[in-house]
Parts: sequence; structure tokens; C-alpha cells
Amino acid sequence: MMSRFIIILFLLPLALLANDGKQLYTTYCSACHGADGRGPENNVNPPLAKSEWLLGKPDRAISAVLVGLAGPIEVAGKAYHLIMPPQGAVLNDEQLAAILTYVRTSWGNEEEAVSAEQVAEVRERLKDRKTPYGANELREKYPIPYERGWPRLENLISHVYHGKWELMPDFSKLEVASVEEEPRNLVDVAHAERDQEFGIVWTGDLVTDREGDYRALLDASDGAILYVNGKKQLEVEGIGPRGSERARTYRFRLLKGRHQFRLEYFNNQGKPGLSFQVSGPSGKQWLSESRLKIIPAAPAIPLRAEEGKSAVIYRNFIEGAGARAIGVGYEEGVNQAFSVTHMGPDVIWQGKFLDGGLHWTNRGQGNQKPSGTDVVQLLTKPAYAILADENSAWPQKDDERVRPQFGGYSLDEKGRPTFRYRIGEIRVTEAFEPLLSETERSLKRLITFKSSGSAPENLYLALASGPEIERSGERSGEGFILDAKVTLKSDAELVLRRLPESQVLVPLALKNGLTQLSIYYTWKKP
Amino acid sequence: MKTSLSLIISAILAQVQAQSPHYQTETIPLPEGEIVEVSAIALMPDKKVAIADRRGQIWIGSGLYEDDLSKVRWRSFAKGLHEPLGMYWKEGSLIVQQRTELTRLRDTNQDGQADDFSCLCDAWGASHDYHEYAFGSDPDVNGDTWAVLCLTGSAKTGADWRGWAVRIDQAGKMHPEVSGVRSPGGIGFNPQGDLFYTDNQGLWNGSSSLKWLKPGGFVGNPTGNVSAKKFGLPEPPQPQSGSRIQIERKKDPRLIPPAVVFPHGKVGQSPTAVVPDLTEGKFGPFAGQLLVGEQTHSEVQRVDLEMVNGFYQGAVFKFLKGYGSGVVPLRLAPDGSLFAGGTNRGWGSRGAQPFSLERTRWKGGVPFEIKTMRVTPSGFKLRFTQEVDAELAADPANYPMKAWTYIYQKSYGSPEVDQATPQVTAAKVSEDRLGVEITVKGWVQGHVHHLDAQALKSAEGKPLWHPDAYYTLNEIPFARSGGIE
Repeated sequence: MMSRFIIILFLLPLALLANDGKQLYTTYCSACHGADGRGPENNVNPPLAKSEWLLGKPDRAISAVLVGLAGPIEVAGKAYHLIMPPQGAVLNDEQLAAILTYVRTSWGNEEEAVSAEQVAEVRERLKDRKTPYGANELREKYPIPYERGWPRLENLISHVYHGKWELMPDFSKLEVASVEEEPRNLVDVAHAERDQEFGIVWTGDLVTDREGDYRALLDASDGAILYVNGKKQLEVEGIGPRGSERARTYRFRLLKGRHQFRLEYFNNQGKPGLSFQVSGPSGKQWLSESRLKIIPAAPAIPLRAEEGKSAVIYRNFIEGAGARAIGVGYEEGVNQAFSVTHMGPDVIWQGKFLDGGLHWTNRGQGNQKPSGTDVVQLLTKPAYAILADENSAWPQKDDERVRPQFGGYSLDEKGRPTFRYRIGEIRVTEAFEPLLSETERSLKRLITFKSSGSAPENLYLALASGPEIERSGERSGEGFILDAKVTLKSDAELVLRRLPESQVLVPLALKNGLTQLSIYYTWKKP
Repeated sequence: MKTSLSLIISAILAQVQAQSPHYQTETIPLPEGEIVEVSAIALMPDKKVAIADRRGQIWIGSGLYEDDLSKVRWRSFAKGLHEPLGMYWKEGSLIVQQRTELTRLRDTNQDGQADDFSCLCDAWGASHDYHEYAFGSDPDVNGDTWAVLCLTGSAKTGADWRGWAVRIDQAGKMHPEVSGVRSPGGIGFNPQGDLFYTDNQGLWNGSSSLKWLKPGGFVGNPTGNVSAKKFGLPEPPQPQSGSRIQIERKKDPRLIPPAVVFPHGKVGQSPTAVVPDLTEGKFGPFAGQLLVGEQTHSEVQRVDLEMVNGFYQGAVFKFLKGYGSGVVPLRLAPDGSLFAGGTNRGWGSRGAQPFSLERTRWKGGVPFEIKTMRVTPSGFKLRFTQEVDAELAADPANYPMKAWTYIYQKSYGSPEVDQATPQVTAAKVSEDRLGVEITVKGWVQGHVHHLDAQALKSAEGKPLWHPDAYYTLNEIPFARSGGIE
């Protein structure tokens, strides 16, 4: 009795609100979203009936209505690309609460009512926001809850493979790149942590709560094959986009209980995506994440030196410098990725340094590309080698006789690192200094060798090995132009050779004691 | 109506019981406006605490031991490190385990920021794979540091020594010591100085577990064996997929069984840090046991170990829960402050915050718990933290048990298999009422034995805070004269 009374108490104001909301909705919203919430007949605007964007807490919908929503979005499996204009200035908290309550409780939507206080709270949070939300940002901020009904997936494991295929490969013959649990038990192509040239095999249990006729829907870009209990049920073949006539459905009978589930998928080029739905006597379930997912680009987290410092260090996977790279960005607008494998800058560039977004969001897969311009890959091979003569080939791997051992780095008061390493008995330091003129930016590299025994003969240091190299003038002292982007000069005698790969080498005749070598990499200011 | 009301009340009671009155967890404020995904914690002199984060920063905080945590202050000590997952203080330096290097950080000009980063060792391989985590230990009895090196993609060997535990001596030389690692979540010593790490459910790991890093041993996943071959070391065991640990270890005694299996889903899903309770009672009645972090469930478990026939084994109990994010590093200070760092980037956690730092302290008083579960030749000996209700404790029907194991296989994880229902046929309460010796028929060597003790009560009538114990029975001790049967 008491519980009934409480329900009535709750329902009364809700019904009143919803009534009011219907009128407001008709005035302000129905032109675009349809009087029945199913969108207009021409389908340019998304529906609100059964829209997943309304599920769960109302903050997502309140935010979109207050500041607007722009750009591509997927709603109920269909793509849209329009602007929802902001309503925050037009409608007050009470009106918005009434509209959203109506929308969230009508046309099959069964969400909780929205209060004016909830709207006010979001409005306060967004008071300084001038731009509309994008779908990705909104979804990141307020994830859409997944309703667990029947049938469902359990014990789902994803096996990721790397490769480029035009038809489904035989995964049993490939080496797996990673294997992970899918804790949400949803098929999710984002799990590959890459956009192109990959495949995923999911295995697990398809669990049904009753015996009956089931229907599976599969749509993929690019290919996908569904197996249930070891039998191939459905295939989306070859390469092509989602949302087209490529989608496939299949009806089959299942007993109550666990069924062996296997879904194979690959993406060649282009945007990956996979939609997988199973409907049966207990309802219809999306069992894939990707029905909604637009894989978000990593947010920008530009890296800058701290106040009062000249340099910032970023140690991570940097494109062109490998897994052991130490990126150094100088406020003066020159940058390097010092390779602890080769010893020396593998990559140099000017302008902006690097962005932390790729590695500092999600799991951080992949190499970060320099953010700036005029990027030059100086080295892809060891920096030191002993050559029988100047025409001998440069080794592809470390020459064990002169394999350098990294020692670390120290920072000066401006935060600039000086690297140190050893080559046998030779102790080496490399100090870097940015130099500015009116028209140019330079990175000065000062290498100091301290030799206390007999240094190996015919020892060479490669300053550039790989880029296109042209002489800057008649004499070698005038330097070299690398990839038509940066000028390389040194106080030492440099040797240019083409075998046929172009290389700039320094023959190192190290005497007992200190030997110093200055190198300048110079860019024209843009 | 009546049932539902009593259900609600018991649910509320259960919650009150779960939020033990004996332990308090408080949030430690982190540097304002910064993203600090705590990945390692080190204790420093002068009551300072250093934390490292996944973005490669190190912060030094003061005030973390004070009652009023709002006065905690942080200063940045270092930036630009590569995902540090281990850190300790030694002779004026922070020793930091980075992904590709063990590094000594010093502040030579005493301005409060590190200015010298010495490479102590970088002899293991690294590719461009995010999964190649390297968790570093505290120094061992000789002062050496150990690192457990995750497989590439947690599934293959993309570089040298992936899937190994390596020891780095004080001259900086690397010694590959234990093979068979898959995907570690933390590494730490027991009070006796033996080293353990947690490995996550996956290929060749039917369930997550705490594993003993016995030098020369093999801990289960043969993917990293290729490095032994490449560098001319004796090849580690090559187990047969689809078998059982208990069967395979008889074929090759180098296979060290997991000391304690954490049944997947029942006791967390992603175990992490391993820390011993060396506080001699300042963290409650569990001195000498291990605390193990849990990332997915945002928890801390409790492990009681014993050595039987030369192998470690023991029981895991649930302990603390409700942390703000996924617990990764733990550090238990001598005063009984447990510092717990959290992150859930890339791997979700029950704790909904993206990152967290918390402090748990024992508030005094003794929760009613199974303190230890140890094996006897014929069953188990339970010790409780408080006197038990002797009548309930003497009834063998109050000790329902289940046992199972996992398939030891190349593919990911395993269902629970080979189920058995061991019977407790006798229960003898000790004179001090703090112990019960149970006789078990039908136990299975190699299985996890789940004891459900919810029927027991303390002498004061209280139920157990955590009634479930999961004991991994690798070995059964030999009966001695005087033993039961």
C-alpha cells in the first residue's frame, strides 16, 4: 500500500511536467525532430525516439541542447551531419527540463525525468562555453550506457592481428599482435588501437535465456564473418563501407544456454567499423560498440617547456627515432629526437615540438609524429662504425667494436640536456644549444670525446645517412643541404659519399685527451 | 513486502559491514589542475613521499602522513620519463624503473628538481608496443633491482627478454633470472625477502595469480623462451597446451606453480602491486602478510603465504575496496599508512575516477576475519582474529568447500574445470578459540580450494567481514607423528 502511494506521488508532478513539455516540444523541436520524435520524413535530422543519446543520466542531452551539437553523428545506426543550434539562451531551466522530460519518456523512451536543478547545474558548468559539442566529445564526456539484456556475449576475448588484406585471411596462420579480454563483452573495433590494416578475431560465448528463433545482423567495413557453434553463419565479404547493401542478416534456431561464438573482422584502409546485432524471443541487442562509435582522434596536448626553462623532454615512441627516443623541444623553435639506440639526433625539425595526446590518452599505441615542420630524418642506422676505407659499406646494425652504451643526461639551469655515453674506453658527451638569428634558427651540437687509451683507427661518425644531400657551396666548409630543408655545417672536415646512399661522415682521429666537434643544423625561419 | 524490506535492511547492513569501521580510506589531494595517473610510489626521508605518473612526471609531496590531508603540498621533481612503473629512494637518489631503462635521478644542485638522469641499465629490448610494461622492484637483499618485462602485446616476443624477470646488479649488468612471464601488474617481496609478482589472466594463465620469482624458475608462459635460445641460455620448459599446471610441472620441475591463484571475477580481474605488511601491527592484525592491488575492481586483497615442500602456496582473502580509480601502485609506510595510487586509462575500473591517490589507515579494533588458512597433512588449520562461536565452529557442516582448477593452455584464460566438492568431516576448535583445525576428504592437489565460512560467527555473534578464502593447494605436507591421521 505504502509503495503504491509513493509511486502515485512521484507520477503526479511528472505527468504535469510532461504535459507542459509536449507543448514546448511541439513549438521548439518538432519541426526538425518530428511530432512523433521519429525525425522528419526526409531523414536529414536524427530521431529522438529510441535514440541511444538519451539513455542514462540526462547531462549528455542537457549539454547538447544548451550549447548545441555540430558535425557528424550516428544515431540509431544511421549517420547524420548537421548542426543542432544551441537553445540555452532561448529556453529557461524549467522549460528545458519539461522538454527533456517529455522526450525522455515518450515514443518508447523510458528514461527518468529531468529537473530544472539538473539543467541549472549543467548550465553553470557550461557558462563559458561558446562552441557547440561534437558527437565524439560529448560521448567521451558522457558515455552512453549499454543495456544488458538477452542474448548477450560473455567471456569475450579479442585477438588483434596486423596486416593488409582484401579478403578474410586465415588467422590461424598469422602471428597475433595482442590478446585481451573485452571487459564490457562488446565487440569493439577500437580495441585494435589502430585505424587501418588490422584484423580482430573475437571468441567467447553467445548466451541465450531461452530457446527460439534468432536473427543476426552484421555490417562491417571492411569484412566480417560470424561463426556460431563452429558453423559459419554470415559473411560481409571483401572491402567496402558500412551502412550499405553490404549488411547481411541470417535467421537460425538456438537452444537456451551457451553457444560458441567467433567473429572475424578485418579493415584494409579507410574508417573501421562493425555493427553486430542479435535479436531473439527476449529482444534485440546490439553486441557491438561500433554502432555509435566514431573513433575519436587523440586530443591535442601540446608539449612546451616550463616557465623559465628553454627545453622540454618527452621520452616515448617518436616517429623515426624508435622506442628509445628522447625528444627535446627548445622554446627557440628547434627540436630533436635523440636516439638512445644510435646515439645522436635521429630526427630534427623546426617549429612546434611534439604532442602528448597520442600516448597520454587511451593505451598510447603508435609513434608520435613531430608537430612542427621541415622534419629531416638524419639517421636510420648506427652513428658509429669502423670502416676499412672510405668506400666500405656502412653497417646496418651496431658494430660490436664500437657499440655505444648510453650513460644518461644532465640538465642545465634552462632544462637543456647534455647526453653522455661510452664507446669502449671513449667517453662522449653531446651538448645542444639553440641559436637564433633574424632569418635563421640553428641547433648547435657540441660533441666532446674523452679518450684515455688507444682509440680505434678508421672510426667514423655519420651525421646524415639517408636524406637527400646537396653541397651548399664549392667547399665542404660551406656545408650541406639535407632534404632541401636544413643546412648542415661543422668545424670538422666532413666527407660526402654516395654508395649510392648519400652520407655525410666525420672521420674521427681521436687523440689521447679531449677532442671536440661542433655541428650546426640550420633552418630558414618560415 | 516484508521480504523486500528485510532484503533492503540486510543489504544496508552488508554495506555497513563492508565499509569496515576498522579501516579508513581518505583521498590525498594531487597537484591542482594536473593529470597524475599514479604509477609508482616511493617513501623518502623527512616524511616526504614521491609519486611517479604514467605521463612520466615525478612529484614530491609533504604532509601525506598528517591527519589533515588538505595541507598536502606537491612540487614537481622531474618530467619527461617514459612510463615509470617502479621507484625507490636510495642514498640521496630516486631509482626509477622506466619502460626502457633503470635510471638514477639526482638533484645535484639542491634546487628541488632532478638535474641528473643516469642510465643504470637498458639491456632489455623494447619495440613500439604500448603493452611492453616494465615493473621494477625495490632493492633485494644484495641491493639489486628486478624488473618484470611484459610480452609484446601481452602475446608475443617483439624484442629481447620480453616475458622475463631480469635482475640488474649494482654494476648495471642485467641477469635474466626467471622466464615464463606474461603480463605483470606489480612486483614485490614477502617479509622473508623472496620475490613475487602478479600476472594477469591470459595466454597460458587460466586465471590471474601471484607468482614466485624463484631464480632459475619458469612461471608458465613459454612465449619468451626464444630469448634464451638466441642468447645461448638453457631453453626453459615447453609445456603442453590444454594440460594442467599440476601435470606439466611433474614433467619439468623448473615450472613453478602460481603461489596463489586469484579466481577470475571472484577475486578481482587484474592484480597489481605486491607489498608486505612489515608494520608489526600498525596496519591491523595481519602483520607479515602480503597486500595485493587490484586494478579492475579498485580493491586491495590480502594474501597469507606458507612454504610447503619447497613451494609457496596460500590463501587470498578480499580485504579493502572502493578505491577511487584502478589500484596500480601500493606502498605501506612503517607507520601503517597504506598509499594507493590509481589509474584507469586504457583499462576500465570500478572506481570511476580517471586517477587517484588515497591513504588507508587502520583505525584500531579488530575486524572478525580468517587471519590465516594453512595446510595440514589432512586438512587446513584456520586462525581467526577474534574468538569464534565454538558451537558453530565445531560443526563440520559449516565449512562448505568447492575446488577447481584451470586449463593450462596457449589460448586466453580458462573456465573453471575439474570441479570437486571436498568434504569437511571434522572441525576441532582450539582451546584459545582462535583456531579451528578442519579435516578434509576429497581435496585435490593443484586445485584452488574455496572455503565459504559465512556460517561462522565470532564469540560476540558477529559474522566474518570476508567469509571467503581461496587456497591454492600446490603441495600437501607429509604427515608427521602426532599429526591427525
